[in-house]
Amino acid sequence: MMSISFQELKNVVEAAILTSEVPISIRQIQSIFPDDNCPDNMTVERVLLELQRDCDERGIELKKLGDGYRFQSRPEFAQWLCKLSEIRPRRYSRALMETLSIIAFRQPVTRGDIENIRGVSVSTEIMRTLLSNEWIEQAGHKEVPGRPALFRTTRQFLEYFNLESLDELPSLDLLERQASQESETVEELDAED
Amino acid sequence: MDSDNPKIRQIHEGNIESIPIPGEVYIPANALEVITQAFEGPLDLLLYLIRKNKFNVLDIPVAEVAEQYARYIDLMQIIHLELAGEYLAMAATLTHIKSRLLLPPRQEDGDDEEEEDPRAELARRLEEYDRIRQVAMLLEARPRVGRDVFVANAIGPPKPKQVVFESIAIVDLIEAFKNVLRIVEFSAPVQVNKATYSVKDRVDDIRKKLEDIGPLRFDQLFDRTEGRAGIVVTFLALLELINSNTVYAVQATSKSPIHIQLNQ
Repeated sequence: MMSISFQELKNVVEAAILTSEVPISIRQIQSIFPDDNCPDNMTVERVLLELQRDCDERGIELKKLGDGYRFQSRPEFAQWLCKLSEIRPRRYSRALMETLSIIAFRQPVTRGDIENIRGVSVSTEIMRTLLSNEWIEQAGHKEVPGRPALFRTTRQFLEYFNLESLDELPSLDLLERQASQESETVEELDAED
Repeated sequence: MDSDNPKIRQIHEGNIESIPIPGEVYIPANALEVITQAFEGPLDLLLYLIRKNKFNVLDIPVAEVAEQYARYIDLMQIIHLELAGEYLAMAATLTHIKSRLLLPPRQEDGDDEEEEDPRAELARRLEEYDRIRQVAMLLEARPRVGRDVFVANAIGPPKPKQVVFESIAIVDLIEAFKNVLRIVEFSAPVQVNKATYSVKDRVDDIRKKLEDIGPLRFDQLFDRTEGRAGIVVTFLALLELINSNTVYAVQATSKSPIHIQLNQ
């Protein structure tokens, strides 16, 4: 195969992402080219960046989730697009979101760890939902008596919640700072009383 | 943090403000529902009380908080809410901390060892829970697939339906062999043939046939004029070839003909 132009490369990559059923990674993009004519990481990244920029004025964006890329609608169009969707988005309880947050932040964790933080027992129903949605998975056992199962979040978790990585969630340090600021404000208010 | 987001606010506040503080007040019939929905557990209730009173988590006036907490527990009992054990355990913890604060610090443990504030452990747990609560709120507000964002996917034309050949069991082969035998029985001319067949030679024959022609239908392997002895030898040779992984037998569905092909 003759070496292809940057524009052609861009078109191939665009088509590959658009026709893939799941987000595809840079490595997967490279795998569709022959070994002797494979664009290097930097070239693919440049292609992706340009594709992202091309979307600036469009209704869709190229989003990175985990190490995969996919095209998706921009969140601001949800109010129109949801009318087309036949499946109504499911609402999840606070208990479920808190359980998921603990797993995301403290992974890998056992059910016991989750119970300690939330102060209530872990609902089997919630764990089953999280597992069947493939947002969490088992990650071996903790080597303590009883060898309880450890859980961690998955790539699908990032994809569903539109996260590039776990770092996109606020760091605990930041939350601690906010908390201390909050309590300072509280003290100030107390002083006023 | 985006506190204007209605989603966040909803979770953050729940319907808590509508809960009356028990005492002589009238308890509305739906209070039970409101409370069970509003609090996610003893830590959540405790945090609510601390925030509502603008206390500092690190310096909780335990006596006051314990009393308010107990009043909520009472309310839950009045309206016959089946109390989770965790709420009662927290009430006990608060009472325990209160009593420790009232007692003079113990001296016999030695002076250099400063006794930890009995509230410290509780404050640590409250802070940890509060952080998780905030993360949960942020996670709830993330753009979600199917709710806020929709995956753009160009779905191509339907892929040509591929016939998936499945490996078959030896019993299926024997079943097919029985059919071949029956046909031979009906059609073979009555003729005494003294030819001898060797399985070893037949193995080579079959392999060569498959190499030359390609995959063959099971019954095409057999030469009916050879009679019973010939086809038995062919079948044994086939089993030999399957056993040595030289060829394999496949079938599209359980009713379709079996095909024999070389293992490349």
